[in-house]
Amino acid sequence: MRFSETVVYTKEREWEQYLVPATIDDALKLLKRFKGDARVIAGGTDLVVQARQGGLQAKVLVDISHLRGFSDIKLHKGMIRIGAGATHSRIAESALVVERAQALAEGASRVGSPQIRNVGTIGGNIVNGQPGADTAIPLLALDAAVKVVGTRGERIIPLKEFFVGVGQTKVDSTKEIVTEISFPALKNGEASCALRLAKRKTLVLPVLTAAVMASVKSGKGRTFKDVRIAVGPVAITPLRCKQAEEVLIGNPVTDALITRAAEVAATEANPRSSLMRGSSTYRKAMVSVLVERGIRSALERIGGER
Amino acid sequence: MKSNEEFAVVGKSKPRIDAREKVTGKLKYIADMDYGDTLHAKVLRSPYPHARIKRIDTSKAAALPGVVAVLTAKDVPGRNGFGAIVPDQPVLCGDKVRFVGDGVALVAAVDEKTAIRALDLIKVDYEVLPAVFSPVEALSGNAPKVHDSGNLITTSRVEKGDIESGFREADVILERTYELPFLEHAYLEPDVAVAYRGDDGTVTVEAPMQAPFTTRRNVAPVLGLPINKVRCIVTPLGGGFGGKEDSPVDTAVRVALLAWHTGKRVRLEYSREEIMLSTCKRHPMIIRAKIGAKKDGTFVAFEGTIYNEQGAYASLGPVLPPAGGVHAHAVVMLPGPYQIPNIKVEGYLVYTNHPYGGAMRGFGAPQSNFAHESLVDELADLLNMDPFELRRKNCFELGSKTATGQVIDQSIGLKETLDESRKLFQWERRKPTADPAKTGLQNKATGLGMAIGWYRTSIGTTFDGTGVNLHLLEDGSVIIYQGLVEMGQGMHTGISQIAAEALGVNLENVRVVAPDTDSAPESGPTVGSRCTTLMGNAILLAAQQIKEPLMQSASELLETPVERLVAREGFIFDKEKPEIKMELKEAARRSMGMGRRLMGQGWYTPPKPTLDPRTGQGNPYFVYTYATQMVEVEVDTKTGEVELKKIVGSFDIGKAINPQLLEGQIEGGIAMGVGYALMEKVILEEGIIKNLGLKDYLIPTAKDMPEIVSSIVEEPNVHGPFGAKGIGEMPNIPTPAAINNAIVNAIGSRIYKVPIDSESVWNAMHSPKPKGR
Amino acid sequence: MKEQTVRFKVNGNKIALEVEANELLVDVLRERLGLTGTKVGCREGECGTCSIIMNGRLVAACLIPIMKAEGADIVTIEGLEKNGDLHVVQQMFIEHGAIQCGFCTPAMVLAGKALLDRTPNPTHAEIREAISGILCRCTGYQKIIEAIDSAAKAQGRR
Repeated sequence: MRFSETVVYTKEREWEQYLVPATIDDALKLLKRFKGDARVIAGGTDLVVQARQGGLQAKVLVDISHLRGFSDIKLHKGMIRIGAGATHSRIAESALVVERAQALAEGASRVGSPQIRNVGTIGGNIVNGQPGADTAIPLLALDAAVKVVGTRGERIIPLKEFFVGVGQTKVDSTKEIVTEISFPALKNGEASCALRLAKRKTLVLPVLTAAVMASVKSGKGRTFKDVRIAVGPVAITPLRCKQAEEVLIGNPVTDALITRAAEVAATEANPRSSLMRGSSTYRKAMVSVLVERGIRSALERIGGER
Repeated sequence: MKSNEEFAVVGKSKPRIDAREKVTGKLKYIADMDYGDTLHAKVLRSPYPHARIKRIDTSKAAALPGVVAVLTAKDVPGRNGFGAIVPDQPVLCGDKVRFVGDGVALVAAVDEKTAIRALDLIKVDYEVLPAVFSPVEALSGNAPKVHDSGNLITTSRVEKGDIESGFREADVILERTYELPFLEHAYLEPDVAVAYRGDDGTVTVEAPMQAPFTTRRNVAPVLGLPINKVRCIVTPLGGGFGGKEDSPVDTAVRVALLAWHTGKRVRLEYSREEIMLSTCKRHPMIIRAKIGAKKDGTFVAFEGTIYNEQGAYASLGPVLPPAGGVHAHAVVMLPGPYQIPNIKVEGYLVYTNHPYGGAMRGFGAPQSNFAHESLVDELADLLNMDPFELRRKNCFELGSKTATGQVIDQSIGLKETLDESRKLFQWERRKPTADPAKTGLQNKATGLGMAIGWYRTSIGTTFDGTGVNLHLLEDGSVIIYQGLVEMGQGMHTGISQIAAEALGVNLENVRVVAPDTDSAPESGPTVGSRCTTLMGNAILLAAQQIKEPLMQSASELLETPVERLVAREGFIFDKEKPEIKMELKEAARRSMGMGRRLMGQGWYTPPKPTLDPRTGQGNPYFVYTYATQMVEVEVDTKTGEVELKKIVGSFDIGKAINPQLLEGQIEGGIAMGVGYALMEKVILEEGIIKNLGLKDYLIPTAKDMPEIVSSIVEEPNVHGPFGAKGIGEMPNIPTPAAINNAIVNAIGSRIYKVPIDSESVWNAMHSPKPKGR
Repeated sequence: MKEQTVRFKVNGNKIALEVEANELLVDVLRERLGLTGTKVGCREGECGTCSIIMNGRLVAACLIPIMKAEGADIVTIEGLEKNGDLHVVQQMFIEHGAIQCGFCTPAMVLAGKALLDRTPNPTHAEIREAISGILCRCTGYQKIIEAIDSAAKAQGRR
């Protein structure tokens, strides 16, 4: 980062119109009308900061946070469906999410600060595309899928394919809108956990976040039926530790295996040494620590779950 | 010494006098004030840490519609230099720039947007010069020269006894090096200054400033005006912490320059990032410290070297004779509050091409304290002694001699603070320092640690005076004109309590006028924990001048000898027959009618400081405050995260004028110490700050702070009003070492740098324990 | 830029303003409505001094584009005093010495009120959480927490 890129003076906010459509279709029509000069705003907590740093070119903002049903949190046929406009506060407070997707409730409860959680949305958080995003990491572990709506209809993108680079996703916010995030609600024998390591307790970007979903089969002793492990920021996108998952899936729940899986997870992560976040050695070591703790926590929760 | 029960106002936790306006949001800080039509100013800043300016072309910027003035060095009518001690900082750089952020040009425009656009249109041709970023490197022969005078600004020393023979006597010697970074004040209220010309040839600057007189004496020569034509008005401060001693001098000279040129009212506001980029910081230091002790723990020798990084400009670093300035203070403080017969400390104050150090709460003592308290603690481990016992055995008591040969002949309650803390904290709970090689570590390791500290009251310079004009008005209300500043510490409340007590009125009857150099007598700066003590004394002197005629009038009116009369809580009465009384306001009204003077002027200077620069001997400061702090931590041994469980502090502050306000200073100061210990650092790379802004420069939040338990010890200061001495800075001084020492107790490994983040704890656990000798 | 109309309630009063779309709520409150009790400390949502209550929740006004306030019910610090009587949280701040420089005080008071409106009996941990998004450099937070705790107890007794 050179001096010329640091913000000393506020850049002007470029947008000249702020529109609040009533329906998704109206929103899409507005995006189309302005041909790339308009973009979507949900909570705006990331967007306003980016505008201040000169990173936002839009002339028109299309506010989608009030669209009907856009903030709903529902259970439907075993799937939890969260409207992209649901705020982090509401997600963290939702009894449904706390019970059936605890990692997401935990992740959402740690975004920024109470003020940011009261306004910032889950849709905005994932579209912002940060590799350590507090909701993206648990959503990855929950194997979420994203519904994206554009003028040519809607598509479902699995979250694990959603992120393309730092700040970049498969969504073009001048043309398309993320409307819903969904994932299977956890059942008996399944649990999840999200953890965070940071330089102070709140109001700070993480050094590392990790989330684990574990499901076990009982029988003669317990075996891992399925495991999903997500960590970030350790790469240009949020990372699923597939090899670590393989160590566990189908195998007995043992301490040795859990430790091994955590070690493997660290090898899959490639954080650089960063002046802000720490050395790559430390960050990799922390991947093991958090993953191991996440797995153990999830297992403990399975015991206690409903 | 009277006890609190005998005082009407002093010693009571009265609500602060500005509480209501603050809690309702009615109090206006400068950014809330409506100045009407003003021009908006911006500063063009150097992108390079060291460069020659070949050419500046302002023509396009000046031509931009809405731009009223674009100024460069040639437009400074007077002295193109400012600084709290040495005016070595250009208002606008003419020949070269010395740090990233150095001011090169000024723009005034009809609005902020236009001013910022104009900055982009100014073309500056720089010739980049090699830069120097470390004080050690800066002292080497072929380092680039930041200033023509050379990079070494000054060497300060303190010397006592014979260091060589001292170390020969020692059974155990420990030598260590400590590193402390640049810190940011992070006061919540950003810097803003407004300036305007008067028709009478005066220039006024309004800003939240800790040092209106320092600001005034900097603005005047820049504009080529006599000091009496410059007026500095202090607006309410949203925090200062030493930063606003210096930053308003910067904003004031620049905004005044623009007001001078344009003839219009001009407003200069620094963004949060700009504040961090360009205003003064806490000095980074590299401190090498060596201590020698006998087997039984008696200290015999102490040696220290301080590489004190001043940065690009002098600010408050250099020595203000005899013992003023951050550097001299750090050097005097380094050996700690311990009786040590042989001492030698040498400190080098060095320019670099970095942002510059100024005053930040503690003024050099936080850095020195971290060194001596970490060293003594490690020595305790080496000697297999309880660190509490080792400290108590060697620490100052009445009659002790400091490193400069000063005899502590009064007001020393250090041992009491040790004993108080021990009780409150239950120090006996402490287990011996962990030895992970033997026992391994649990997932969570608990550690208990401590540190003690000392700190001077006031600034150790020969011109350390403070003045006040005190008036008792004809209705019994009181007005105080003085130049020390309320920045949250409660100083205006404290001095109001002192005035009320001294005159015999109620607190509600007293008003402190907002400091204004046009109405306040020279008071010195609001720094150095000097305010309550010095201004309190000045008020007592002024009050005497009022009491005499007032009581004389009352004596005549009550037909009672003056010796029997007492003034208290709005009444004057015969202390032996209290039914013989009158309202004080009536006595005031009648006094005025008799042509008696009900005004007093107080001027107080503390006992003269001395410090011989060659011998390092003298009495540099007239009284010290002492403290003990104890910290309990829980370390996550897998991640290195440190959780603070409890902090206990005991403070000898002479006399608590307002115990609740005092507690506030303690709790807030400790929070600042926590930040220094665990998370604060200005991160620099090639002279560029990487963590501009509060997003990346981390200070403690409510979730980072533990419960704080504090106790007050009162060992009266004979030179203080009602026995008081300074408190503002002491609480943040021992905290970092106490936290570090607690971490060591938990994990068995020691860290020698701050901030102690989780990675450094993790590294310490994973690296072999360093040997003692 | 063409102006747009925004309508919202502030401290119980209905407001309708012509604004430019790119204005921020914090500036409209301060400059247009003269409600300077809400402060500006960083303009990035990192210090919390611009916090206000919007639709019952604490938010950072420096991050809210003005049009997002359309239809909102906003409470600023100025809305707490009623007929010269201070809100219980304000009273407790004074009593407990929870104010020093005062710059974070309006935000902290509103955070306390917002918390107590939803959670009348908060634990100390919940109070810390509620104020965790507002930085204070003066107090170390201790007396602020004690004040909000006292306010909760005082309210409970009414």
